[in-house]
Amino acid sequence: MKETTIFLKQRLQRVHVAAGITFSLVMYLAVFFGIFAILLPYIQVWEKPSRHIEYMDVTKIDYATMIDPVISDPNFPTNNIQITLPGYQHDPILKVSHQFVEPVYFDPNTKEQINNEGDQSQLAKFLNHMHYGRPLKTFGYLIFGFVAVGGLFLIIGGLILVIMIKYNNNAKKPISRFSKLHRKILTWVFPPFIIITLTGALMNIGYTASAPMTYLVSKGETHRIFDLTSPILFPPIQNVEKQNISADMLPIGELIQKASTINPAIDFQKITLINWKDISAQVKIEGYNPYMPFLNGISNKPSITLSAVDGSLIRQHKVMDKHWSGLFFDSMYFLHFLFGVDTFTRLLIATIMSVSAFGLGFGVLLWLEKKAKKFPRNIPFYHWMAKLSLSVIIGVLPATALLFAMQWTLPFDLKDRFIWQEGIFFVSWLATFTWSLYRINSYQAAKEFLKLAGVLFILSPIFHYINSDFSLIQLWYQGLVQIVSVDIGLMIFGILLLIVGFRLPQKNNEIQKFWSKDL
Amino acid sequence: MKKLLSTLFLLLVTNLYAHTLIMNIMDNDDNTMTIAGTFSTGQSAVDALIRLEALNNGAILFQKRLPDDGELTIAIPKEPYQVVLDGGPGHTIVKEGIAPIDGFDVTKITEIKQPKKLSKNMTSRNSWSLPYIVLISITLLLIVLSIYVSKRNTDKIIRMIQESKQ
Amino acid sequence: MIFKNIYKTLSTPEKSGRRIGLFRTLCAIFGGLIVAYLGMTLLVFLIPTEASKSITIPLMLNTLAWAAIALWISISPTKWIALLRSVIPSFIFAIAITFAYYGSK
Repeated sequence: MKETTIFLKQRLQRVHVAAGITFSLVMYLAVFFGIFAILLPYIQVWEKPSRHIEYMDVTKIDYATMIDPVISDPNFPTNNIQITLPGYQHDPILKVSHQFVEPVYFDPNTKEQINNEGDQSQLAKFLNHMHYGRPLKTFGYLIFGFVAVGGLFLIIGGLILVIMIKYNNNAKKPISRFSKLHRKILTWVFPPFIIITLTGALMNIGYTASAPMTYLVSKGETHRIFDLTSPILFPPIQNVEKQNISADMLPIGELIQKASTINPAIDFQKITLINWKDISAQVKIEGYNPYMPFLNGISNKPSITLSAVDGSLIRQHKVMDKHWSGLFFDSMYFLHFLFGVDTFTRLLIATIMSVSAFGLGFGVLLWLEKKAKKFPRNIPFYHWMAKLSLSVIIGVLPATALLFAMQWTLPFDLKDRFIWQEGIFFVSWLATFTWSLYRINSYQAAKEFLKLAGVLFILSPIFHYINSDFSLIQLWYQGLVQIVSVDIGLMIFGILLLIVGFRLPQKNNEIQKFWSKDL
Repeated sequence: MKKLLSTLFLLLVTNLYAHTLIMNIMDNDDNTMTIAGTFSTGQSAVDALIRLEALNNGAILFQKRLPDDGELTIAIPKEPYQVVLDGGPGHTIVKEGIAPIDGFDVTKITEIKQPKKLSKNMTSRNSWSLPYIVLISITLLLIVLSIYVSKRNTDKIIRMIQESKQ
Repeated sequence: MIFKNIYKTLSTPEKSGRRIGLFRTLCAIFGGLIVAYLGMTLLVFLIPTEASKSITIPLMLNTLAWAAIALWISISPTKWIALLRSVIPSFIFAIAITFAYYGSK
C-alpha cells in the first residue's frame, strides 16, 4: 500500500512536470498578452490620435446633428442602426454602425465626423489577438485551446500534489526557492486562474468541437451550437412592423434621461434605433449594471426599450430577468472579459495575472535548474529549452516595448503601417532568440533584454508626447485621464524593468546567492 | 443507430465558420433573377447591399439593400456583369452574373465618365507586398544565424567539457 | 494466447512511477476527451430543462472535465487500468446517451 502511494506521488509529479514544461511557454504568452488585453480599453484610446478628445456627458450630446445625415443617406441601412455612446470601453467617440456597413465615427464635442485610423492602428487589437493565438488563425486557436486544457490539467494536478506531498519550504537553494515560489504563488491565484482558463478553453476549442453534442441534444435538429443557445443568450431584437407613417422623434439625449429615471443603476452603452423616423419607432438602450457584477455584461445586458415618439416604456430587461443559464454564462465569463468594470477591478485582475505569470516562470526556472545540475560545475549551462524560454519569457518584453515605441513613431499614413509594425515585432522577438543563443550566459542576455525593454517602454510616452502634440499636463487638464494613465503606466513599467535589469546578477556565484537569500 | 455513430465522427469539424455570409442567385427563366442573402446559420441578411457591376468598366448597374424577406428579384442586365453582396467590412461576396435568355448584347455598354474598379471577394490579400518580402527575408536570415550561432556555441561547450575531463 | 500476453503486458505495474509512457499519455488525452465529452453530453440530457438552456453548463465544464479525467487516467497504476478507465466510462455514457436520445424522441 505504501509502495502504491509512493508510485502514485511519483506519477503525479512526473505528469505535472511533463505537462508543465510542454505547455509552459504558450501558457505564459496567453497570460502575458492577456494582461495587455485587460488594459485594452486604455491602450486602444492611447494609440489613436482621433481619440485624443474630451469625454462628453451622454445626456448632453446633440445626437441629431450627427446621426440624421448618416441615416438619411439612401445607401445606409434603414433599421436596427446601432449607436455606441461615448464612454463605452473608455472610448470618447460616438459611433453609428450597422452590421452591413463601415461604422461612422463622430467627435461629440465638435459634432464632426472623424477619420478613424482603422486598420492603420491596431495595437490594442493585436495584443488581444496574441493573447489567444489569432495570428496563427485556426492552428493558433487550437494550440492555445489545448494549452488552456493543459493549464486546467496542471492546476488540478498541482493542487493534489500540494495536498499529498509535504514540500520543503526552507528555500536555501535556488531549486527550493523556485519550487516554493511556484507552489505558493499558484496556490493563491488558482481560483480566478481556473475560471479564466476554463472560459478561454471554451472559446478556442469548446465551441469548435460542440457539433456532435449539439446534434445529439437537439435530437438532430441542428449541429450549430449558436442555433441552440443564441435565442437564450443573445436573443435577436424583436421585429417591429413599420407603419410607414413619418413622425417626429424625441431627442436621443432626452430618451437616455428617461431611461436613467426608469433604472438609474445602469451605465448606458449602446442604443439601437428601430424603425427610426416612423410612428412605430423604438429605441433600445442597453448597458451594464455595475452594482451586480458577475451577473451581467456579456450575454446579459440590462436594457430599456422606449417609444421614440413619446418616450413611453415598452419593455424593460433587468439583470435578474435573464434565464439562469444566461446568468451562469455571464458569471463564468465575467472574470475573463471584465466588460464594463471599473479601473480598480481591472488593475486588481491584471496584478493577479502578473503574479501568476511569475508563478509560471518560476516553474520553468525550477525545471531548468534541475537540468543545470547535470552540467559540470564550471561549465556554463547551455540548453535549447533555456534559450527558448529566455527569448519567449524575457525576450517578448523588448519586442512588446518596440511595438509601443513604434506606435507613435511610424507615420499614421504609412502604407501597410500595421504590417510593418506587426512584422518588426515578430522579427525583433525572433532576434532575441538569436541573441539568446549567441550569449552563452543566459543571465547576461536577460539583463540586456530587460534594460532594452525598460528604455523602449520609457521612450514610448515620450514619442507619444512629441508626435501627438499633447503634453502630459495638457492631457491631464483636458480630462484625458485614460491616456495619461497609459503613459504613466508605461513609464513606471519601463523604470521597473531597468531596475531589475541592473540588479539581476550575472556571475554564477552571485546568481546562487541571489536566489538563496531572503527576498 | 447509424446516425448516432456518424455524428460522433464529426468531432473536430463544421463549427469553425459559424457566421459566414452566403449569396444564392436563382434564374427565374424570364430574364429576371432572384438574389437571396443569408448567413450560414440560416438567418436572412436583411439590409445587406446587392450591387450589379458592369464587367467592362465597373459601372454600377443596380444597387439596393435586401428587404425584410432577404430576397430581391431584378431584371438581368443585357451587358456582362457581376453580382456583389456587400455585407460590410470584410464580408463581400462576388459572383459572375447569369446571362439573359438571348445572351449578353456586347454593344450595350453603360457609359460612365471614369471606369471604376470591380469589387473583389474579400478573402484574398496581396501576400507579396514590400513589407512581407523584407520581413520574411530578415526572418530567414535570423533563422540561419540562430542555427550557426547555436552550433558554434554548442561545439564550444563540448570542448570545455572535454577539457575539464582531462 | 495473444490476448493473454497482451493482458499480462498491460496489467504488469512498472517498477517505478517516474515514467508515464506513450500508452498512458494517449489514453489520457483521447480517452479523457471521449469520456468527458460523452459525460457532459449525458449531463445535458439529465438537467431537467430544454436542451437550449441546459447545454450551457456542460459545454462550459467540458474542458475542465477533460482535464480532470485525463489526470485520473494518466496516474493509473497499470496500462490496463488506464485502458479500462478510458473505455468503461465511455461505454456506459454512450449507452446512457443512446437511451436518452431515442427514449425521449
